[in-house]
Amino acid sequence: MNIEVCELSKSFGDTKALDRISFFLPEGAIVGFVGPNGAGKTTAIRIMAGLEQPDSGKVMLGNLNMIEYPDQVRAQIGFMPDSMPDSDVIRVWEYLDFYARAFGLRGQAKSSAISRVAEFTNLASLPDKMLSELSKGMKQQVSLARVLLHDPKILLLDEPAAGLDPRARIELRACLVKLAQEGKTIFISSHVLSDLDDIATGAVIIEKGKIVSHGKLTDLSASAAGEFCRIVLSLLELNEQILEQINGLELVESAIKSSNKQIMVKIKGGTANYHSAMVQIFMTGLPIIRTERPDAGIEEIFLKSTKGEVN
Amino acid sequence: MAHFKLSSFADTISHSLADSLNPVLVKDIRESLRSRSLYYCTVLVIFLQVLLFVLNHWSVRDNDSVNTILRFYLMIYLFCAYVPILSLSQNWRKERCSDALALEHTTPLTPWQIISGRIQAFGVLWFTLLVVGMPLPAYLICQEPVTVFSIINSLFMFTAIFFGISFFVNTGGKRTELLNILSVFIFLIAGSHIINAFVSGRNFARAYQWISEPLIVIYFSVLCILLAILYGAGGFKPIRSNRYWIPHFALFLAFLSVPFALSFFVFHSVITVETASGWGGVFLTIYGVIVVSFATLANVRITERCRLDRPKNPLLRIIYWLCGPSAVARYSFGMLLMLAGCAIVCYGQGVITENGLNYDKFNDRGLLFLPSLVMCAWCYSCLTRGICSIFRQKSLSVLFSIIAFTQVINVFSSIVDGDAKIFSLFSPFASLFFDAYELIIWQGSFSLIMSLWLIYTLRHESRRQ
Ligand SMILES: Nc1ncnc2c1ncn2[C@@H]1O[C@H](COP(=O)(O)OP(=O)(O)OP(=O)(O)O)[C@@H](O)[C@H]1O
Ligand SMILES: [Mg+2]
Repeated sequence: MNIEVCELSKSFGDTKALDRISFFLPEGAIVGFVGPNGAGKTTAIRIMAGLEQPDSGKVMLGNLNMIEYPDQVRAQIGFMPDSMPDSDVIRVWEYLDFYARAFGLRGQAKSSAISRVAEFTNLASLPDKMLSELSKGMKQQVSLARVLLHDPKILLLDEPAAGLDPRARIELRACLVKLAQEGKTIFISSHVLSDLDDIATGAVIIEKGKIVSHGKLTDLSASAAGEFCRIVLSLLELNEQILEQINGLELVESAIKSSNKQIMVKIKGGTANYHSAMVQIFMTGLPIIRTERPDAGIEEIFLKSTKGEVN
Repeated sequence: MAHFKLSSFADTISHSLADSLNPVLVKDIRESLRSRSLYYCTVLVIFLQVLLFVLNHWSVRDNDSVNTILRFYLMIYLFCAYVPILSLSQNWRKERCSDALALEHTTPLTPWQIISGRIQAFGVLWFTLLVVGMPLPAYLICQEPVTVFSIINSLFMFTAIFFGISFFVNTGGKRTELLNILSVFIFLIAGSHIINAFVSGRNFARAYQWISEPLIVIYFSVLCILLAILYGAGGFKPIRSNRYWIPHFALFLAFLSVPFALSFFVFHSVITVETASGWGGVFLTIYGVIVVSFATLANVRITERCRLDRPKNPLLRIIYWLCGPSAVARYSFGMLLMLAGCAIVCYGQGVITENGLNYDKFNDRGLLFLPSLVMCAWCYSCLTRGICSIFRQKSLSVLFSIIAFTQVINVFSSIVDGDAKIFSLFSPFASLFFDAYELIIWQGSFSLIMSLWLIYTLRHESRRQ
């Protein structure tokens, strides 16, 4: 189901957390929601989850305004907050059981839903642990399992990857991809931009409560790359001299060492100068073994579109 | 070993909770079962009962020794019952302060289901503790010519108040240490009062007209528990979710008016003579303070939410002008004003009682008139303001404002006017039924002013929404 956010505004006292933001989430897409701290991501997601009343604006799920009829869309939305479940008197299965009951599942339907999500999120060995005994990654799994209990069509995830180790992140990513394949629309806010790169099909970038850009990732990266032409050079060997040599070239704006044997070169004047710059670089006669022109990932689009200001 | 058994006991019950129960009740039962203090306290209470039963059986039985045993037992029992109640309220507080309560609102559970689940959970725990603690007192009292029912009734009611208040305190705040200290105070004060009332005045129910005190106690205890639970369920603001504090608050107001109306029925029909002096007066004053505090708090919250910085209401305007933009300052100032008013009212009542002044004289009543008028006006304006910003529909705003109006005018007319009858539940028209000339004048003019105020506030405040 499509979600359309129209002109959403929300203030807390004098702070304008959201300033008439609008964007569109197509069905089955994984859309990243990125922005600096305090940009208003959590606020927007909470409004979409029906927890907060906006000052103005609409969130349309199909033809239904979710702001006015939150009770009618509950079953279709799964909201994962940025806080983790925690309690030293509740076991994992009880936590899931409570939410299953809350979503109206009873008897066989309830137990099969619980075992389904436990299997999906690899919780099978944990159900008898207390929530407080779990590690962060496990809590995240439990939280994800809770979100999936009622099989929602739309997932709103607020920083699901925060504090996870690389392995847990990869697992989370795999889960999300699987879910998207099942046709769920996933809206995911995250700081860890590289997490979104491989899986997201679109991005919404927000800063100081305003949307700075949004759309399909391919479109966004093309437009970002347009002004930001860069080349990655892999060399047989790399030292300061070579770096200086490249930096000295006429069409090179900057060259920095990006890894042991790689240089990231930024071209003056953008894509238009790409070919001339390449010619200049090869004319130096350096031992270049490979060149690459990376797409602009979410990280760059993000860095490019935002100024790092917070309201 | 012991631990293992307890937790497997809890798990067994946890697994067997029926699907048809309210999910919130199920969750709260599970949480309570895991609190080890519940088991320790239960075991202690049962052990103590057996011990004292044996002791009582073999010792010389006179009234004094029975009283001593009861006193000792009740002291320990109250403490033991207090601990699990405290741990349940702390769980709720944690839920309110973390995002857990807000998360419950993203499920199809309605706010009412959440609130009623909690009411049920509180009831189950409290009832269990009461049943566990009752055999010994019941046995001891059976030996005497006092009806068991009246004793159990009184213990039941007093513990309701006591637990209700402590619940209220513990779910309301955020700082654990402060709340723990506060609950110890409540425990010491309320606990000792309960024990005394129970042991030394065991037949207090007969000493007074028997209907009056238990009923008042019932109403106030119901009130306290409801307030506690509603607040625990996020009465004012289930934090970080502005959408769901409104239904909670509306329910809260609705609940507020029902027991208050009932308790007024009791006050007016049963103890009208004592209303303005002695305990009746103190009760009324406390009641006034509670109403006023809630109204003030509501007002501040609503001002924050709607950012209405220039209220039309003249009294609010003065306060905003004096206190500047800080909501806390406004609230503190409003409360200070109210407390001053209450102090004057109490003092006035003291003077009237001490000197045996003639209450029917208008001059004596006039002593209380001004402060209570100010309190009434403030309280009413706050309530109206709150109500107007809660409901989008004007008709609901008007309805609730009228309820608030009759309630507020009740409080203060009772403070001022010792023998207002139950008719004053319908205050604006009550004066018509009285022959008393002054009553007609002052209640009539009061009603007129209030009605004008109602119209004025409604027009201006609701338009802003
Ligand atoms: N309940 C609240 N009361 C007052 N201000 C708030 C509240 N919630 C959010 N804000 C403000 O709204 C702005 C946006 O906050 P929000 O939490 O949405 O940011 P965010 O993008 O999620 O940040 P982060 O990346 O740090 O999670 C911030 O300036 C914050 O101070
Ligand atoms: Mg956030």
